[in-house]
Amino acid sequence: MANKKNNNYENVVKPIVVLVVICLITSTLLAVTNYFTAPIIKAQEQQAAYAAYFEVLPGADNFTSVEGFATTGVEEAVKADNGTGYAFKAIGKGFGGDVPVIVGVDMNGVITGVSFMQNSETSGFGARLWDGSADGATFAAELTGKSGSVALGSDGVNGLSGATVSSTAVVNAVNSALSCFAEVALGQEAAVEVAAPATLDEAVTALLGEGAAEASAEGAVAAYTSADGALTLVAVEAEGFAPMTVAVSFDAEGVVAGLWVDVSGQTQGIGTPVGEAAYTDQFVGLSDAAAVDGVDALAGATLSSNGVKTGVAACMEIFQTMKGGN
Amino acid sequence: MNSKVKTLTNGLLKENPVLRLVLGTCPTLAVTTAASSGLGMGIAATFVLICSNIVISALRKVIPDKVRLPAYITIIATFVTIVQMLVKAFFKDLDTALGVYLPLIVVNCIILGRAEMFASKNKVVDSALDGVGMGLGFTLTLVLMGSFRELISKGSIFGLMILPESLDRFTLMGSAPGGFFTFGLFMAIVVWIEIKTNNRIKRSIGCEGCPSKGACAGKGECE
Repeated sequence: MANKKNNNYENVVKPIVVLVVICLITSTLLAVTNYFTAPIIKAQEQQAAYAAYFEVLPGADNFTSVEGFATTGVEEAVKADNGTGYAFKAIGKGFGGDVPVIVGVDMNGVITGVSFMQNSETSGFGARLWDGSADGATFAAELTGKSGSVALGSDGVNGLSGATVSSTAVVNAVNSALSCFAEVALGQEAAVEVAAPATLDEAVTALLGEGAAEASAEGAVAAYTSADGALTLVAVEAEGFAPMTVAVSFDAEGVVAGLWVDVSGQTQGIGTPVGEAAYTDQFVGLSDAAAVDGVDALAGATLSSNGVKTGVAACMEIFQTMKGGN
Repeated sequence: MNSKVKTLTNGLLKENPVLRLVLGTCPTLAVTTAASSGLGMGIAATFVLICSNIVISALRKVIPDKVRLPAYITIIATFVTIVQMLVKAFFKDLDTALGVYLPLIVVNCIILGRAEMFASKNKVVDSALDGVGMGLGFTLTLVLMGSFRELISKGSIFGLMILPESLDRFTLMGSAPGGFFTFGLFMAIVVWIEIKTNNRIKRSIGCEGCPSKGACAGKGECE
């Protein structure tokens, strides 16, 4: 009996006890090591993450993250602990997506350095910003020393030849960084861009207000009238560089009150500007097809511009039919 | 005393873990692209090997046979993780160079192999010496292989440019096939040295031909 009990102990209890004790001791050892090394490892990772910021703001000793800024286009803002200045990671919209730019700004608002992070711009064109080509460094040097705001083609800022869209994205990103500096360092009002409506539903709300009712119109993708009946919106499918939805709101007289273009199918940076207010506002106030035809096409985006024009003209025609039918 | 020296030097040539026992081949092929990463890997593995050999030898009477492998792995994994934390904290470049092969020391056959074949059957001092010897053999092999591959593929050793720029580099030696070429070449060299020094061990299949025969308790122990 005693022998059997001893066997039980040897076969079952002892292995468990020994393994548990070993695990407890090793866990303690690991916890102690972790306690001492974790802060060092964390500091080093931070150092690595801030390496890009050190590059553009050479005098800085360490960085603290700046929270709560409202400027759009800036992903991260950090302030040098020794008061040398600020550094920003700003995003510009390029030809192939986001173009992240690191900008260092000293306390006087002067750019101390610019560096470009990896982007998906075309190899040999916008990719020259970061792939080690001398052009990227030249562009960065052109931007260094500027303050207030920068623009392509002025004050020695030439950008990358052959890569206007990517260069514009960089200039936009740098301007975002500069206005973010004005916000966080000088306390000026933030430059907030209101995002354009992304869907037809959002556009209807933006152009007609809440409570718009659906109306029927032949040939249109959709039609709505505002809650008070003063405005009518007609949306059609037009042929741009790729099919695009154009929605136009008219007042009772048939004058264009507002315009929305779904540019999601157009080429980023080339066709997409036809959806921006600078272009669409030209149509507001027009009431006949001839006037619409007279609106200038956007340079480099003839197909997309023509798409908008034919879309607006088609909407006018449908609106007239709707009115005539009433 | 003589046996202690023998234990220590065994790992250098006669029982060289990489070239004679053919253990730890994966990290050997992977990290010997440059001499410095070979040295780093060797030192890290040696540290783990010595520590685990000492601890396992000290606990050899406490650890029941049934749970010896989980116990060994736990002990080895602990030392590897400690080394990994220290390397991450104090040797950032080495951490980048060794990458995933550092945590993979846990499953390095040399360490588990020596725990099973030597440390679990021998006294603490002998086990520590075995760890030092095996570690030195491992480190030496990695450094030599790394230097050889770095010299041929990049023209440098430990980052020091040795070959003139005008000589073309044979970059294949820096990638995976070059690892196998070097491995085979070094194995042949060790066998050649054995023959020249009349220490040729007759190798046959089975226990007799096993290079670990000296440390093995007897027939049937290693299956």
